[in-house]
Amino acid sequence: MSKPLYSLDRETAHRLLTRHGLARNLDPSGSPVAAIPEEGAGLMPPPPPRPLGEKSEGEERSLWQEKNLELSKELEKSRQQVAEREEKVQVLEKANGHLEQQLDGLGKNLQEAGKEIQSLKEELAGRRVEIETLKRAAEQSQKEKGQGGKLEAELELWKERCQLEKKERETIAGKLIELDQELTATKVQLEEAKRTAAQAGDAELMARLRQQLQTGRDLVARAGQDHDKLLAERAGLKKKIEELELELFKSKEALKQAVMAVHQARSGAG
Amino acid sequence: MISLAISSQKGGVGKTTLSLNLACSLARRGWKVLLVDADPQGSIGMSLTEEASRHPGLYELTSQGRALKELAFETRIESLQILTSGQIDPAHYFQWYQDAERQSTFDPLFEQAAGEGFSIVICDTACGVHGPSMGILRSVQSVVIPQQAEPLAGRSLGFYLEVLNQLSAQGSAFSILGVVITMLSFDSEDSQIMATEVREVMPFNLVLNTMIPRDVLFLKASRKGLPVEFLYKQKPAAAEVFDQLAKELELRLGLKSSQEEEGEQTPLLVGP
Repeated sequence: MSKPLYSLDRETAHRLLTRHGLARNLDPSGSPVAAIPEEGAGLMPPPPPRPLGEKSEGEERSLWQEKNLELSKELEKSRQQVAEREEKVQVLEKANGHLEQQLDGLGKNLQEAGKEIQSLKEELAGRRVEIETLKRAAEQSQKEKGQGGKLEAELELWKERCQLEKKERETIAGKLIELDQELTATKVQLEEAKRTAAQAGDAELMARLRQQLQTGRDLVARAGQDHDKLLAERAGLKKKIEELELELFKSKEALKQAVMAVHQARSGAG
Repeated sequence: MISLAISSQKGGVGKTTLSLNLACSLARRGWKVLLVDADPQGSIGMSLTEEASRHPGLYELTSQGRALKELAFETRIESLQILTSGQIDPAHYFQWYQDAERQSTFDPLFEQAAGEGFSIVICDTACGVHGPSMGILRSVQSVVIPQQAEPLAGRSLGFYLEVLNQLSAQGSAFSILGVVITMLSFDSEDSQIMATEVREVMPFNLVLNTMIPRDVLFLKASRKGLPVEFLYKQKPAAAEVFDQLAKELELRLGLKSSQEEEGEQTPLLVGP
């Protein structure tokens, strides 16, 4: 069953009656006891007649109301401007969020590449040990001269390992190129965001964006440093690999000589 | 001088009956009362005589500068005069209707009424807040809201209070003197529920104690163009409610009727 007076309840009625003084005979506290009229007391003394030509309370309230209305309009206008700016800020924040995500991804990639390089270095160190072992084995075989077949087999194994190593080096180089490209793309996006903010022409917005751009720049700078570091590491590794290759060449030569010596020894014996 | 509007959002709630009979009761109680018909339909004039419905009145006073003194009807009650709505010129109806929304349109009415020595001016208005009803609400000091004790009428009360609030916020100085429950049917549970609900929802002292019942006598009085008290030689009981209401309103307005003044209070019996 619907309420007989629909949405009108005690609180609403009281609010409506007191907001602009519609019911002046109400007790301000709303207490019914306090509002019981006393015989002859008169709840609402009539206001004195208004002298002609004098501004009435109503006219003064009307002026006040007009001013109030103007202020309300200005307030509404300001609200709209703020809402528009908020919208722009949201768009830029979204764009920046995307860039930050990309930078995060880039950072992670760099970290992973670093790990891979580290593991490669470890592997290379291991292989160096193996080369040393082989060298020692070659020397030993040279001494023992009867074990040429075993050395040949080890030489084949070494060749395979060298090829694997080369492939891995190529993979690292490819990853570094990818990182380079990602960094360049991020820089372009940051420049684009900067241009958009400049077009928005909002000082506050620019300040916020500048801060975000600075963060982006720092991240890029850090990424650049990591990149340089990786390049340096790559150069170092390349040098080490060259050294190892030289050592390998020497070792191979030694092996060849050892094998030759073994053959000669065999033919001499035959 | 006290100015009072009888106003409601809904039509047919008994504004004219209340205005006419309340004016009679207040006049009987010693006040010089001017009853103004501010309803362009001319409800008061039409409810009295055919002549009254054709007589110049409020329209001529506000648009042509005619004097209240020459326009107001005198009545069988010496201290009661009636200003009908007048003969609104259809060609100028819309312009006048627009002008009548302003307080200034009715300034001459209230100034002249004060000059003529009226103690109370009661304005019967058309339903809603527009045209002359709006102008009157902007001009008067107090408003009495008849609230019909029927379900449909109750639903417009919240809206009406909102509208009055808006008017008040725009600078009108009136206040609500009270809400009068009208057309209360003692045979109908719905009617009584509505009356109870209004009393529960509205602040305690805003709803007047006097309630106007639904009575066939009002229809009869309306058909004959009379206030209820003139229907029969002896004043009918239904007319008493308006005396009671008049007394209640006097209290709220801080007035003291001559009927309330103490008499000589000599013994009833004066001798064998």
